[in-house]
Amino acid sequence: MGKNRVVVTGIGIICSLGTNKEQVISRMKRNETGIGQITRFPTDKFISRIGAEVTDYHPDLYFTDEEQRRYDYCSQFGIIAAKEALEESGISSGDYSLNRFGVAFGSCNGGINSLEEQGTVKELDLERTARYPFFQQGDNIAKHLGLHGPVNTINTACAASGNAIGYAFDMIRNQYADVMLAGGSDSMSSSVYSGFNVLQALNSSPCSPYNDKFGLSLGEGAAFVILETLERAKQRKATIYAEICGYGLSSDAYHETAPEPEGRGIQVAVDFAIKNAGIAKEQIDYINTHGTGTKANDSAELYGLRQLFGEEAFRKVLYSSSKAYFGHNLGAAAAIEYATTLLALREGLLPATLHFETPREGIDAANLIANEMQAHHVAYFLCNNSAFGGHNCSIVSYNWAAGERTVEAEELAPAKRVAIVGQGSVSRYGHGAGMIDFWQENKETVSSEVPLFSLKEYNKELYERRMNALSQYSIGAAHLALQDAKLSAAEQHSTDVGLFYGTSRGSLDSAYKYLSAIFEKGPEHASGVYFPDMVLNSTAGKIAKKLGVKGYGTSMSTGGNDGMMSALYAYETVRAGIQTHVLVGAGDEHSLLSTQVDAALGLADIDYEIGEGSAFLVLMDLEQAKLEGRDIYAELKGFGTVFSGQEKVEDEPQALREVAQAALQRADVKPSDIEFILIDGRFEPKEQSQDVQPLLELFPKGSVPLLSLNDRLGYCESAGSLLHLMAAANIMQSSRLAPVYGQEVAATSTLAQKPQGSCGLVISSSINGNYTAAVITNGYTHSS
Amino acid sequence: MKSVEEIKGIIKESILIDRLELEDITAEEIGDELPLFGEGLGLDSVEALDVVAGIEAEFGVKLQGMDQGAIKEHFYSVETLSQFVHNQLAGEAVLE
Repeated sequence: MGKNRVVVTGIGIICSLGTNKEQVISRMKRNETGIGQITRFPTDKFISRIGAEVTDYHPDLYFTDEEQRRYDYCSQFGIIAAKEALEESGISSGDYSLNRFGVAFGSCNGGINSLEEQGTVKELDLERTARYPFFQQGDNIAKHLGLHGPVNTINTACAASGNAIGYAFDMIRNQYADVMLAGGSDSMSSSVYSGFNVLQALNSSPCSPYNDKFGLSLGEGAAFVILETLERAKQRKATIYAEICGYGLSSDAYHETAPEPEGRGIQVAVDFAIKNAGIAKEQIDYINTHGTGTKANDSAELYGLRQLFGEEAFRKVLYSSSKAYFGHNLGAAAAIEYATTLLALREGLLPATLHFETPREGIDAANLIANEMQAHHVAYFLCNNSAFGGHNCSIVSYNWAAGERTVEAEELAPAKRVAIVGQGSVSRYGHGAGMIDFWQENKETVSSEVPLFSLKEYNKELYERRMNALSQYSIGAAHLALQDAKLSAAEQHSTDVGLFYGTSRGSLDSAYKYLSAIFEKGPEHASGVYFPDMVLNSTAGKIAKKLGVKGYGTSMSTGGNDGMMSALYAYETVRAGIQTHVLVGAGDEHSLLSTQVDAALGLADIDYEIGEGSAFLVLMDLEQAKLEGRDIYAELKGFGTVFSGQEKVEDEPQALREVAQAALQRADVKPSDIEFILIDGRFEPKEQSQDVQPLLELFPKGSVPLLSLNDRLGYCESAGSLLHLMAAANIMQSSRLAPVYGQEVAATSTLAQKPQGSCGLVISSSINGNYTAAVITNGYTHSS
Repeated sequence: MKSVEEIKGIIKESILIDRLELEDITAEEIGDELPLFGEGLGLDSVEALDVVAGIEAEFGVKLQGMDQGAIKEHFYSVETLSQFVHNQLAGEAVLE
């Protein structure tokens, strides 16, 4: 079967220009800006008083009182935009199975308002604090709409919703889902405004990218697009806005807030995007740029694009930044800019950069669409975004308003097989490269009295002052995994190596320091050095920088299966031949604030202690690994992912069964091939319990031991799933199964050497019922 | 009014050591003439902006909106920065 073509058939937006897309596009056509006075918080201590707020917003029109208590503005905006997109698409309940309908969400600040409302980080109330973690808003949208397909929150700051659209594209193209809502949301935040203020990035007048007045204007809002297969869209006679042809990601590996000065990062992302789309760069007619208005961004971005296209050729490409209309919407920026570009193209127009007077030094404004929309014929176009942490995203789309796109039947390269070739971990059993085999000789845990791991002691070169524990653990584990794989990103072409990272919370210790200074001393005393850690992709950015990893770069939060979701994403990227080598990792950190969040999420009284640490795998194209004579731990055969939306397993035990079935089916493996199941979650998987009966019924009775390592590792929210995946790879190579999980397993703890072709199943779960499963095998020596 | 020497002490202790959490160095070890950036203390541009915020908080002077060029000039070392703060406090210097 060929790969699915993916099209956009619905749009929803809420931003400073209006609460629906008709309002937004009509005001854009009148060259109006939504940037005005900030009303949500006092601005007298700041260098700027303005921003692009959603004005005239009445939550009562959309939500019940109970829903308003449950959903912060970030969730509310997201739901409003998602519903509008869904409605326009005309998809009705019978068109798609809700199990094949997912949500890819991007956010920069998640539930930050829920902490700001409390004005403290010390004695937090449970209800509002539970809304803070960055996976809650995307999960709220999926729950509100009753969707059960793949659900993932991308947290790559200002590139997040562009990356979310890319992830959704992958989900449909690789047949995990038939339809996806993809977009992002962020709400105006006083503490984020304070951070941009201390970094002197704010413009005191409405921003105008490429103009000679520097600075950005912050905005808020949400946008979603409906993505589905071209085939089904045509069957449904849906209106097709555009086709997504491909996308690309990258890491600058340069600086926590500033872009690489020559725009090398965005250049790599665009290059990936164009190659993945299978078109020539000369076919690009228009670029909707990131263009924030800051001194550092705009010239670096255009310089990078000029290098990629060539000076001469770039003069033929039209470009503009839409941020003068509705400000910089951070995590929602890419989605709002993408959606409004589609609305303009539908009318044969291109979005403009408003308030433009004098181009800044080094900017050729001849092809900038300035001050008012212009009519142009555009077939292929790019939407680009770049972020704190150095993450970049570029999407190649085809404008269906210009006519139907016909392509010759794609010659599909066979999917690559994916091997695990390196492992590194930092856990309560210490740090090390290679197998985690603490069960082999009853290893002792490290004392909880001392820090788990010091990067400075491990390798001073990798450490930087003020580096939080999460980054220390994660850089350490990533470095160990690369060493284990005998791989150096710096020696490889650094863009050949990708980095996929999962963290539910980022460093709450850094967030605590940043927020307490603001709450206690005032917003003008925000700390510029801790602000960059408020975005959750900060750790992935630091890993990329320290290890020189410049290929695909992303970071995500799911509230429990983050590590496995990262592995799924990385696996598909290698499988598609986009990257030959990837680092996959996840990490967790204990802190005063994280303990309060644990309590708010109901993690204080789970079956396990709370653990921390980091786990990293190196994945590679299996055939290439064999050619290079590398040691292979195991082969990843296939993944599945479903979202139940139920916090308790007992409320939807079928989800465990469904995710296992999905993984088995994609791996093309029979239940009888599975020798063991490792399960990572907050609950102890007792084999006699009702929760796991539907899962166990898939397998021949009594044949498969079901284990969790969390009684030993502690519950590591994000890293736990990868620690289980590593353990599974090691069990495949060992003659013994882990004598973990109490007595139930004692009877089966010693198994014969597993025969070639044996498989294991690893299942991970989140607090909101998000599940990801993988089938792993030692059968990699056989060709399939 | 604070003397230049007092200002130097506050910058070293409260801003560089406490606020920026510089490691492996004590306030006493930071020389007055040691460059804050590059080969000296190795501060980067984000840390420079945090020093601006720290100066505002400690001394109550208003520096927001100061451009990168002026930061480079006045923030060269503890010596130049202390003189600058002293002048600000004395109301002698006018910000560009």
